[in-house]
Amino acid sequence: MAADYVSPFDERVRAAEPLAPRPASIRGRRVVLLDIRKNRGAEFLDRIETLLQAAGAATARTTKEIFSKPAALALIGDIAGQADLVVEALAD
Amino acid sequence: MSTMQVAAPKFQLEDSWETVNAWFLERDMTDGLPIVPPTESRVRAMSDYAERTLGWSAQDLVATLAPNCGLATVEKIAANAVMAGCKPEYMPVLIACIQAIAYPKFNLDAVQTSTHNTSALPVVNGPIRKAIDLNWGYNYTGSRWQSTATIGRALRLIMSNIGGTPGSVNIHTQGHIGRYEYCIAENEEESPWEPLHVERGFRPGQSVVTLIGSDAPLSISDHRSRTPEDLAWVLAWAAASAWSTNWWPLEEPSVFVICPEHAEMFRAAGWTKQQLRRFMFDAVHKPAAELRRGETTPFVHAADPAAQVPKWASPEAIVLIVAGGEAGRYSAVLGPCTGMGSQIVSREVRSPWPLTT
Repeated sequence: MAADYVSPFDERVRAAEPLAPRPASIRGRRVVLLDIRKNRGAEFLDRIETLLQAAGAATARTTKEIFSKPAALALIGDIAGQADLVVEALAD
Repeated sequence: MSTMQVAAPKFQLEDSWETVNAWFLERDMTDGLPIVPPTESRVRAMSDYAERTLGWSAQDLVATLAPNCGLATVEKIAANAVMAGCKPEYMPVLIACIQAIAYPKFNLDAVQTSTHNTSALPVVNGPIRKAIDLNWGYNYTGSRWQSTATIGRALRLIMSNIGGTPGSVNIHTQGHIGRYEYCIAENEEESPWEPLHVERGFRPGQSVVTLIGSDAPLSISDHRSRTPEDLAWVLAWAAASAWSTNWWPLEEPSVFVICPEHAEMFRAAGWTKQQLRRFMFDAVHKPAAELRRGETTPFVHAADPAAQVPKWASPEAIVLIVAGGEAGRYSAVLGPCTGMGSQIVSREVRSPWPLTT
């Protein structure tokens, strides 16, 4: 004999967002390096920034309020307004 | 948000305890322990109680839960409460807990997804403790006590089943027993001080849940202190390694659960909660030079080597509650959820409780 049950979880799932198109080259591109304030993330970004500049990219640095919260919409808008590419560092 | 259905909100299965438990286990919708099958009638009894006492109907949205922005309706909360073994009269406490963890200051996203071994701890105060027979005495953390154990368990199931895709959330490096169930009711009757909710601005007659991102408890034995100063020193220094041995000062709260016998020593000496907190804060300092090993804070690196660094950033980072049996000189400290911006959130439990005493 069958019985009726109630699902205990939210059945909705987010549809996968497609990746943004990748550039063929970073030469001449504007790259924002986002420091999320995780320990030693800045060291990682220092290395990446050196490599990006050597490859001909123009770089800028910015930081998030705290690593454990989503970036503020104003920060996302600011990055979107000035950058072709973003590198976000996770470290520890 | 574009969505698709991955399972029906309601479904049919064979009416068999074994079949239902196997089905839920295979889909990672449990904590690994057997569940009470969430039949429509059981879930309806839960949601009907919430409607009768709180005015919430089954499809009302209580909160949106991180990390997956899951919709915690009364019915979904009720289904998890059934699975955990709750009685319908626990629903108002659970709903208040859900509202508290969903409040942005709590930062559930970080508490749920961190590799740190933390969990959401509800501390329950006020008349509701007696109305639903929570345990604040011997063995207060839950085992062998239906209300405490199942409220804590239901909260965990809700956080993973609604807040995250089942099975995807818990990446604790070590794990934490609080990921089965975590709930404490304060022993207000044997406390010399104002209870936690009153300290946080509520009236004594209000029922309140206070949610804290918290580590597992560390037991502190002290059967030898004969002065409040000695006892306070022992309690405070037990927390010197909270979070990490050399991570000083801690911004986030350390929760000290003071046992009744320890509380009595402070009562007899006339110490207020504020005095004890201040003494503990002043007791635990070290020169910065001694803290410069392994994981430590930018504060320690920037300080003069001889500068005295406190364990806590302020006395307010020391939270004091009373719980435990009347015999035995064991208190406990629960370390903080550090660095994730999770703050304590309190929420009143709204319900016309028929008080038992």
